[in-house]
Amino acid sequence: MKNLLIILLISSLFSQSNVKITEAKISYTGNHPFHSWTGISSDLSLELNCKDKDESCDYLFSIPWMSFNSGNDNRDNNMLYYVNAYEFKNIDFTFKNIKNISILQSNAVPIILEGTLSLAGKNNKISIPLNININSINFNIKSEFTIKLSDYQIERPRLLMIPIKDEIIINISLKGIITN
Amino acid sequence: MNKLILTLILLSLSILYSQQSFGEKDSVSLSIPFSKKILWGENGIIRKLDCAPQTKMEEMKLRHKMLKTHQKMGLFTLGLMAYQSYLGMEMVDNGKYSEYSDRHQILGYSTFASYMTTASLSIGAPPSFRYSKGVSSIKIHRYLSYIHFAGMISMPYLGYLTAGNKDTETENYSIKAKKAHRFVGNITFATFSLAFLTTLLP
Repeated sequence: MKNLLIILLISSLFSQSNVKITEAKISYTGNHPFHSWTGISSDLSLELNCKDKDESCDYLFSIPWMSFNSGNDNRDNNMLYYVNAYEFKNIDFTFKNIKNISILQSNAVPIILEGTLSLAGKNNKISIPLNININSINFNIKSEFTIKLSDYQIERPRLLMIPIKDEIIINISLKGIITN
Repeated sequence: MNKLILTLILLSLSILYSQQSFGEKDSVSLSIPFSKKILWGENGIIRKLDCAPQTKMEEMKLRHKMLKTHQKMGLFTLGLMAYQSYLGMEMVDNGKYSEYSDRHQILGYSTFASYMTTASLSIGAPPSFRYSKGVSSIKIHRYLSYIHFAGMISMPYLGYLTAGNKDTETENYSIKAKKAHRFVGNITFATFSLAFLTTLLP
């Protein structure tokens, strides 16, 4: 009976039409010797392609660069310049062939998800830690990891001729519901 | 004399206030400053003259270059202003008028030219992709520029009067002008320094 419930939950959670992200918060934090800052976006879209009766899915998360707001329009404008945002408009996270059972079994236990991060026209393999909490029909996903600008050949912006740190901290928080 | 200073300040303030946002809707609660609209708006001067870059990306690159130079020139101007302020104090407080007056005059012209180049790089840069409402360090930077711009406009003439160029047998403008020159100079230097410091804020 328990197994049946899990299977039902898996299929309901990951079939494309049944997952709805109700709240998304993606932020990046940069550091400079004079100050640090955080740009926040809540504009995340998810494209799901499931196969094998929804046992595994390809996930494509996309966030438009222009949706980030750090509270300083000039800085946001500068960021768009450095990441070449008019040519490469989005940040794309792609996770392929993710076994949904492994995600569900990870409820409240951190897992590592491997995929590709596309920034400024460069694609790199990435492993991100994921904390998933599923409570009835609600789910909550959190992740924090660091990327290096140099890995994506992004020139580091400078303030008073001093460049920002190469490491950028990314925070992701997603809330959603599973509907039937 | 007072009327002249007041007229100069009002004139420069009227130019500066023309740069303020007026709330034109771009997308959600965004507004483009008036000066940007005049230069870079759909029917702006730069577009009419066909001098604008062809793509948004090129426009952004131009903006980036101009503001980067604005930052460097601003730092250079701050250095000039600091030394100019020091010379002025030495001349007034320590009686080194004859020793420093020529240098103060030449440096005054250089500071003015450097300042105006710095300002024009910011005013003339293509607009940002977004102008949000609310307070931010960059907005404080802009508001402070209204004060130091007004001060900088009036400084050369106040210096000219302080040197006694308009003094006659009956009217001695230089005494009053000296006080005004020092007062406006201090305000200009202080607000320019604060504007620089706001760039270090998050």
